[in-house]
Amino acid sequence: MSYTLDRASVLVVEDMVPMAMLTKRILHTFGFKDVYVAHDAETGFELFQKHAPDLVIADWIMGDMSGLDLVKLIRRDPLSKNSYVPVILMTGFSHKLRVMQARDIGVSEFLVKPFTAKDMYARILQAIEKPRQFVDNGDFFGPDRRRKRVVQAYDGPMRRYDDTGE
Amino acid sequence: MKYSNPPNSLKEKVGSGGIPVERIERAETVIAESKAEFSTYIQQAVKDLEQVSQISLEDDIWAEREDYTKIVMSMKAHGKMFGYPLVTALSYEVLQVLDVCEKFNADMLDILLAYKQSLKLIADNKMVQMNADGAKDIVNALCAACGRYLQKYSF
Repeated sequence: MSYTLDRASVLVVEDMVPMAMLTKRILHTFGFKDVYVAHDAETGFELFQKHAPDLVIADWIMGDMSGLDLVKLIRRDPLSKNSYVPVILMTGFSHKLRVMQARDIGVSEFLVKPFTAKDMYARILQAIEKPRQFVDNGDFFGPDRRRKRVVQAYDGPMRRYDDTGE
Repeated sequence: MKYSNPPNSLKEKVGSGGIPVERIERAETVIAESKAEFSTYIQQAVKDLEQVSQISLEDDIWAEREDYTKIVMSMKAHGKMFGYPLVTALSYEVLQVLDVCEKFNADMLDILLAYKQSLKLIADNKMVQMNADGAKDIVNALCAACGRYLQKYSF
């Protein structure tokens, strides 16, 4: 048994046309059927509102409006169709400060370019199987910036509010 | 502070089981065989970097630094994806320096100029792979310059 990816839709927002096409081909090869593509963030948000995709994959650096601006709109615009949608941000940046900047805007996953198909699959898998809870503290709305680490060796009682109690 | 666990519509739609390995391997082939006229993007980057030679260190060029960073980042990001791993390797080194540099000084300018010249050489001679003639020399020279910069300014 494998994922029925043809039931889910993806929005790709990437201004470099060959990269957008390549990303679309990778997603089709994975099994996604409905892949919408925009080459700027403004059009990306329009397509987002029109199709309400289940996953967004956006580039960071684009024309006037960046991928981070798009994430802000998706997360905070009162008219946003789905503020909780998982967003994977693609970028060539990998410096810690840049990653933190993206995380502070509400990005779900970070995909550093150049990437392999395996890298992209790992991020999609994370979005499907281990979505983070959302935090709203007034200044920030998005996936919890702290990724929960499971300490395998610990076998004592679970006391945190979000422990499952298993 | 409010926490919420929104419904996972993606999971609900796709179910369980992952993506079969064969599909992931096929997708790797899609990337390996991706064709784009990337040399035109390299030439554009060289053109955009031409302004570096006109920079005066007396000017406040902090904003421009971000522009150059974006050019280098784009080359690093897309080179390998479109068959130019050498471009990615070079750009990675320069990006590391640009990401930490606190002052746009003469050493930084030298690195950018050397980077621009390297890109031009790669585009003119269609040097694609790391094992192309002269490729290692270019990478080693630029790596050494970047290393010296990071050492000199104690990063």
